[in-house]
Amino acid sequence: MPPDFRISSREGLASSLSDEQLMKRYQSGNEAAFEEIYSRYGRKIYGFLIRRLRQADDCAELFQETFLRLHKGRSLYRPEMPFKAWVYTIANNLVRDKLRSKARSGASEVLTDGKDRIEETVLDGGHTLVSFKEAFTKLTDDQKEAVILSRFQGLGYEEIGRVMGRSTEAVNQLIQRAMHHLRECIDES
Amino acid sequence: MNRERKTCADSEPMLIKKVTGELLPDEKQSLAGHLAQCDFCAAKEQELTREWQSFDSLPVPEVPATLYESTRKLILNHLRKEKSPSPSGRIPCERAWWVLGPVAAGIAMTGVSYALIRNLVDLGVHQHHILIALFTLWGLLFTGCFWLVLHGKRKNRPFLDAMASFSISIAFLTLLIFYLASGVDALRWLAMSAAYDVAAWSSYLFGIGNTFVASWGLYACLASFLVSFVFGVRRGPAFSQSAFLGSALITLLLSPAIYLHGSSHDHGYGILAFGALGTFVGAFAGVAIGYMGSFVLRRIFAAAA
Repeated sequence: MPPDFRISSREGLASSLSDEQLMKRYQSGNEAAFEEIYSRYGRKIYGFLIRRLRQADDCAELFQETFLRLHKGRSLYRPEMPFKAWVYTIANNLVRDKLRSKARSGASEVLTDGKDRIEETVLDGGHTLVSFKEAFTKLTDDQKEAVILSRFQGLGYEEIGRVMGRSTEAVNQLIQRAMHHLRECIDES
Repeated sequence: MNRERKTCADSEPMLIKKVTGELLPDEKQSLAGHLAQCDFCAAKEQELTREWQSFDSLPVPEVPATLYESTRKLILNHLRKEKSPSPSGRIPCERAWWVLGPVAAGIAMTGVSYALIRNLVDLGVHQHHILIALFTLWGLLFTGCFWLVLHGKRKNRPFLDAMASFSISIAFLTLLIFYLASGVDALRWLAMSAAYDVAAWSSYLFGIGNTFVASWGLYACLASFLVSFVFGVRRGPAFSQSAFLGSALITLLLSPAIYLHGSSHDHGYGILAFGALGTFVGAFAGVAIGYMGSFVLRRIFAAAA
């Protein structure tokens, strides 16, 4: 075993590595590398899923599936590819499949009272951004996807482009339109 | 006034870009100039910034502890299993199936194929060792295709999976059509008439034509059309595109049958090669027609929906 794979079990060292370097170690079966990746992205991916799907059960299922796919497909990962975009692409594809299958089965995407996770996340110390929430639900799927990836997940436009399979310019337009729509809705309310 | 309105309208997309942090340096400059002069846009900018920042104030949802732990354990278990030094860990039962499955399926498919073309096997004409070699080759080809199907699924390479499953289905259907065309009198007459016409046209157009070659081309064409049409309608025409590349594989899978047919009628190797070429062309044409048919049908369905 090469030395760089042996020393990675030291937590401090693993945390100082980039995502791509960690992924390289994870590809060769390094547990510490996986633990570090998981601690970096577990919460982010869950946040992304809950904001896109809003149903805790679906999120739990897709959360596990995302990491399982990441694990099974790790041999396909190439270090030239930004890891962040790669892992979000996996999660995003799963979300799209889920939404598509829900649409096929006729399940409504309309928010349900009491179970609305977005509302929970919108509540912040007594300041309720109801108008924002309502405006947000009116965005198209692509716009939501772009805004969530940009604002909540902190991805750059180029990374979002990779995740969504679109050009940077198209992402820019999507976000601009979403912002415009959000503004209009808030103005009306 | 009009001029200011126009400038305000122009600056709105820039305001949004400023808030999202995507403003280019020269845009930044021109916007700053406008904001210094226009109170309306300056107020709008502040409001927009406040709204956009409200996203940042949203708490990040926590992963439920049980879910976090169970997922972590699941992946670690997978990792440990992969690294397990015991022979049983290295070759798990599931893995053995990946090897045995295609072999079993390949043998079964060879058996089915033999049943469909058994009237071509003439022990007076074909020597035992040739037949053994031929059926072994057939078994290996089918095993290889089934392995591609499983390998494609496991490695998440739907292209391999689709191409191999197409080829197997089309090869099987071609043999079935051959069986029906040679076993049922009415169909035999129909198949031979069609093959004769195709051969005549081929002779007229290219100066070469043979009913043996034309018949295999027709069987492969019909089978390819049916499979790619059905798959194309069900799973989208793009799916049946894999079958274009599968035409070569289909020809390879059918080559033992073409050889047996040709040699039992005392055809030479040259005509056998033409038989394979005719099959390839037929399969390719069949896939193309099936692809187009499924595309058109889906468009009609979509328009109706």
